[in-house]
Amino acid sequence: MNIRLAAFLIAMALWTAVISARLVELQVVEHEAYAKRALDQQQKTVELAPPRGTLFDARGRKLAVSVAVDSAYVLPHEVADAEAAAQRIAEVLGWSKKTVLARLTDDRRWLWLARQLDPPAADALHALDLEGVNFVSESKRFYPLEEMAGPVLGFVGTDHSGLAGLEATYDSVVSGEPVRRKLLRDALDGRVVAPGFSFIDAAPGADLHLTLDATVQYVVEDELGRALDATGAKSGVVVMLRPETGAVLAMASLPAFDPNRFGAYDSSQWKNAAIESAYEPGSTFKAVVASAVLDRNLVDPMDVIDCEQGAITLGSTRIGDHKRFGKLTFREVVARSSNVGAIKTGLLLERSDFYDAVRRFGFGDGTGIDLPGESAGIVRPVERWSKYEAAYLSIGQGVSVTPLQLARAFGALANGGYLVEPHLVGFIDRGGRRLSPERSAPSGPIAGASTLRSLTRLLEAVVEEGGGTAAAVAGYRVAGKTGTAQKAQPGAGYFADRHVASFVGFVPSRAPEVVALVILDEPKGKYYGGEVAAPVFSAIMTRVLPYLGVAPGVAEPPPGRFEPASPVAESPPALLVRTVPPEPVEGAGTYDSVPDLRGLTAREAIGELARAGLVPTLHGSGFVEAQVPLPGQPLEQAGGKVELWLGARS
Amino acid sequence: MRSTSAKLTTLATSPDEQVTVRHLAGVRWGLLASALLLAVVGLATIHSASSELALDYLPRQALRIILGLVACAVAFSLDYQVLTKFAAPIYAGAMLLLIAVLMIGAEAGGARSWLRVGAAQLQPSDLAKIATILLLARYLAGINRRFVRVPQILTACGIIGLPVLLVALERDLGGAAMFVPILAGMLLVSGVKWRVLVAGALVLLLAGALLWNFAMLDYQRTRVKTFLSPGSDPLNTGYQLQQSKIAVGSGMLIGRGYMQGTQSQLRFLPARHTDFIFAVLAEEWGFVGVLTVLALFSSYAMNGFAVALRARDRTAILLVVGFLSLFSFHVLYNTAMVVGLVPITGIPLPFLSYGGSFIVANFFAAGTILGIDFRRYVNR
Repeated sequence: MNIRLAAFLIAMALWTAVISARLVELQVVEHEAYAKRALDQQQKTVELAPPRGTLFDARGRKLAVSVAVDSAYVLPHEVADAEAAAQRIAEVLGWSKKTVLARLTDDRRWLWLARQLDPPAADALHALDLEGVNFVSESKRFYPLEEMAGPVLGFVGTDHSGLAGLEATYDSVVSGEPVRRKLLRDALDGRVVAPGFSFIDAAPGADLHLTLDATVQYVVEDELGRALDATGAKSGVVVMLRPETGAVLAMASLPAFDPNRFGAYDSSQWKNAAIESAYEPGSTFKAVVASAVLDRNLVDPMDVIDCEQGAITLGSTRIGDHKRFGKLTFREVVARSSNVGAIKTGLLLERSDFYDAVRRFGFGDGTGIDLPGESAGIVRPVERWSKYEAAYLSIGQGVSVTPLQLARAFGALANGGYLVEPHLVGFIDRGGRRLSPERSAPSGPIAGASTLRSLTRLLEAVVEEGGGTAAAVAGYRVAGKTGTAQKAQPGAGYFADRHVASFVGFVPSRAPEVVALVILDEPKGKYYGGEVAAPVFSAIMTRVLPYLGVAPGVAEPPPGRFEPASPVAESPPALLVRTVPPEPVEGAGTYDSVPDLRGLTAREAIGELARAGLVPTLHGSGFVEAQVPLPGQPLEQAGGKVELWLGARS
Repeated sequence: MRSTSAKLTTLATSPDEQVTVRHLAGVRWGLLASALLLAVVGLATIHSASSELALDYLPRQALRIILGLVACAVAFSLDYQVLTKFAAPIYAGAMLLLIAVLMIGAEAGGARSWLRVGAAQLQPSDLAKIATILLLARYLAGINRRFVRVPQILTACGIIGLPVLLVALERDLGGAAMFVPILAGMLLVSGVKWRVLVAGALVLLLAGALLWNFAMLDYQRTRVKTFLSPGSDPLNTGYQLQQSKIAVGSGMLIGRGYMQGTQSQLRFLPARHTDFIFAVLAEEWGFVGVLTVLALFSSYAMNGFAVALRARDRTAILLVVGFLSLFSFHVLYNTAMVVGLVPITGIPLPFLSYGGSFIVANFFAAGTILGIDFRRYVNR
């Protein structure tokens, strides 16, 4: 029996030896191959995008934020009753049951059900509490002010890369540095398991602090919108800059789009007309001609020019004035925008000098603004000029400029002759460190100081006694120029009934704080720049200047004749500091106490407050939930400021 | 051999307690120590393997080990002669339970082999194994010849044939197969001519071929096929085998560390707290850890054989050999399966795998072996 037992034992021992040999084979000899196979199937390389930086306006209000939203995924094998579940999910998401059912019964172990859900939809889906439906938090770009400044801010695609506007220009800054990581993958649901790992390891995106002011932008869009309604214009553009720095305070092109739902719009609507659409500037361009002739002492403002009773013939083309002018001073030519007078002065210039002047004003070159897709406009090289090119150029035809180029050129007239680089981003905040984007140095001067002073007087005359009186702003002296251009017909010639009405100017003219351009495209009925665009300029400035703290200045009677050229600095200081209370702002006075803003969107609240002359500070995003001071408190108590706390609608 | 139960009751009432103490001290406690160490290793490994599961199986397994120790104590105090006396009714009861499973059992992993008793689950095939060993020992011990004759062998085959059939009907083919080594071991030791053994092996092969063609279900055939060519379908049936080999292979000499086995923690490894617990062990503790556990298994087996060698009657020897056959075959098959040497089937690892009645059955077996050792003088 013992032999039998031993045989039994030996059999077992042999078998154990075989297993041990196999273990040596697997664990020692072939270890590396198996370790590699383990890694291959367990590791998954993922690219982690850190949260995108926030875009703030000039006063720290959020214009673009990344919010955490839920995305739902399905583990089809865990779904108990797919039919019933699909029915309920379809109701919540507003999808067809078929679509949902297809996802719930998919062969894969893991798939997305719906990504980046709106919070209400996510809540409703959470509430269903279905087996096999799970959630992960993803980041989604949210623009709390909706349409406001849409083309400027741009938008972000689902892959988290900036596709338009500032989001595109500063994509690498705002998006931070994505990190490629090898993460461990769970076998069953593909869940990424990474003990001790967080997205913080990736360099977070930097915040952008814009020069754009949401309140100014609101006023601008509000007034431009009204003007579009009133004039029936197809579209409109307003650009507002600080002439000294080129800081963009507002940039609007209507009709706008909401970057939160950019996909719902035709891509043509994403366009930022202020920088992408070049147009023939028309009479606003006369300021360029005037600058060139004054700078070369070819004309004095008081020189008299025969305006030929309203028409001049260039070759076979007869160019008329809007009025039959006789003899006008050059000052009157500019103020009343005589085409004949402008052409005659323009023809005094050497062609190459004319061309140089146009180029020195920055036309034909991009401004270098920090936005993608800028157009350079079209300035034909002088060697390819036609016989009457200079004549046409004198009245702003045969050249195309972007609104921003024109606003910048007037900014140069306002700031002592320097072309600055317009920009939207004031500084970048990278983890508390302030970085200034690189800017090219201003170029210029584009004209001598005395020329600029003279020109300023001429442009003041436009508003005080010429074609642009509607642009006047009570309490402030405005310098500017109207423009009414027939739209060029593709092919040749111009449409008789399609116009671009514009007004561009700066204010206060003797110490300019703001330069702005208003363009209305194809207004119906009245179409002169002085009739339709100038009032928009006035309305905007009336509301914006007090908000910006621009002291009202010169309110003395308009000078009857050309003043001797005297530098602004030599003006009596009293002239500038004398405080003439501004006319009541339109809409202001509707509030003598702090309005109730609760339940409004951030955009609506900013609008209301702008009307009451208050500056809001915003916390969070969504709808106003709380405010300080409380509604009904006297306005004075607010001290000009209101704090708002926003949240999702309950 | 012919001793009566009356004589055995002296265990509890003997005036000569010193003899009892000496007998107690002389018992092969190494067997129990090995079993306990294995159970503790099992607890730790189950905790690691179930860390990604909805619930930690450690407390439940601990409870079963306590139940097992109670079973062990009961088995130790019961005289094996008394036990074998009641072998027939115990066997009959176990068969009834197997039949009950067929009618009201719960299904798991393609097999209907579980019986729910309140909150607890019982696998009657575990009880059937013990009952079969008891009955076989009683039957074979009664044959007082040098060689067991063929009709007696056939009777023995009949004794295991019934539970094999019933368990196979549960669609638990692996569990059914586990009865065969019990018979083989016990027949070998009880004295069967070598040529009969060889003939038996041939018959088994033939039976296997017949099974393959007529009795096996598709999934069972797939398992065997998968074993033969594991690369053919890596995401489905061969998946378990692939994952098991990767787990073992990536463990290397010293392993990835406790709770650090990515194959099990990331849920690549299937059935990791039950049938594939050895792979978890191999991944987290490496070759060194695996050898240690194999050494504990060997220690259990060697202690068991020592008991068999010094046992003085055929019943005792056959019982020990039966239990050891069962134990060894589970260990060797399970480990061979994990390293990819034999087809995958649901055979747990004694003392280590999570599983209710199997661990209790194993402790009961250990208690019986220790009881036999304790009574080696008494029963002469």
